[in-house]
Amino acid sequence: MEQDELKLIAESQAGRLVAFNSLVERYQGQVYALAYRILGDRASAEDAAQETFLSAYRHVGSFRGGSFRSWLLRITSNACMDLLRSSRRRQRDVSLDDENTPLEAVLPSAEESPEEYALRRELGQWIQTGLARLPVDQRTAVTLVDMQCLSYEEAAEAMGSNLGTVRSRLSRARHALRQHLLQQQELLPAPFRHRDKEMER
Amino acid sequence: MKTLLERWRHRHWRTLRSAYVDQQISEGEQVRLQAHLQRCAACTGELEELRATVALLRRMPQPTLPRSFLLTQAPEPALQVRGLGLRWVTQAVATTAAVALAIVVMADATGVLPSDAGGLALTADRQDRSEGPPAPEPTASPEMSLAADADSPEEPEVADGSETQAPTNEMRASDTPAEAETSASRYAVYLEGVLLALALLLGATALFLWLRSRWVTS
Repeated sequence: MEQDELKLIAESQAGRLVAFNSLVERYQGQVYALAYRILGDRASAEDAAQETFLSAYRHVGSFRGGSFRSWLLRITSNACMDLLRSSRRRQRDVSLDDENTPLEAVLPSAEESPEEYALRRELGQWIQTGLARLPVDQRTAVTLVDMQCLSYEEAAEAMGSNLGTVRSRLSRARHALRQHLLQQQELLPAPFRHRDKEMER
Repeated sequence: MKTLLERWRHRHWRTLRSAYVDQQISEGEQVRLQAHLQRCAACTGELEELRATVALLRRMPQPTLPRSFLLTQAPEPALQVRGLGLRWVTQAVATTAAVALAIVVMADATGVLPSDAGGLALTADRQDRSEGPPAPEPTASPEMSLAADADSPEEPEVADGSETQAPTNEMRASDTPAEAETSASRYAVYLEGVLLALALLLGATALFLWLRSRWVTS
């Protein structure tokens, strides 16, 4: 861990809100991203992210070292589970035509054409739909490792499980997402399209 | 047409392929997988597609932060975060159930609570008191006082045994040993039953809470 992060954590544990907010600034993007991927809508993700940082501040004294990011994302994962328990319909809210699910806010980049931007935005939405169809444990695993680039060890810590569990959940999630993506191949960039029909199951 | 066995084995390789993409595979597993890839075109193709899927997912931009989550003031200390609280409760309930069960088993094994199996030592001790010389009693007393420490202090049987010989003599003089035994053993049986019921109830509660948490995460 970086020295300045250790210092910020120590100061947070001493009750300094300014120091804790520096940590919030550093990790709020990742916390919100994980919550959004798990819960699927902006309002719920905001609630989970808010609860994450409130809880983290209250319990920062219990952080004993290791990856602070994993510790924080563990709190996020738990906050998402709490929200899912209290509102079970979110787990089954996977309607493709659901107009209430806002499109993920994606900004256009300077290098892409308007058509490319539209395709990229739609692909992001299609991936989110695919994530919503996964069991929540698989959804969490693939988000942590493939979208937020955590290592297996960090992901295991964030999910409160072991490496073997991360491995199997990730494998199943990737396979399911691949099958899902193949249903809308026109959204995929050319290098990622299905090449061999013999691979179909 | 692939047989069921072939399909099952093919899925078995799927987990290894996924771990292989991330270099999260042991040396032995890598050797086995690479040997398999050399003779299985289907798995080789799937490995390529898996790499492509992972690369695509990694390219996806992070959802845009809708607002800042900086804390404007230090939050009030909460009683408990619900998620952490549930796990604590489950562990506390399970531990209490285990302790209650251990008390019952220990008390039964040491013969403090009279039962068909465990009451023999106590019965033999009483016979010694009524028939033989006082010599066996000092031997029995420390054991019974130890059991008294471990078990409920309300147990009259144990309390009698852990004291000096005077109460024993009183027993002989006033009540018949049989009458004292019956009321005391009935009380002990009730206590044993209560402890067992408590252990079962808490064990069932812990199991329910654990299953409930697993069900939500499935």
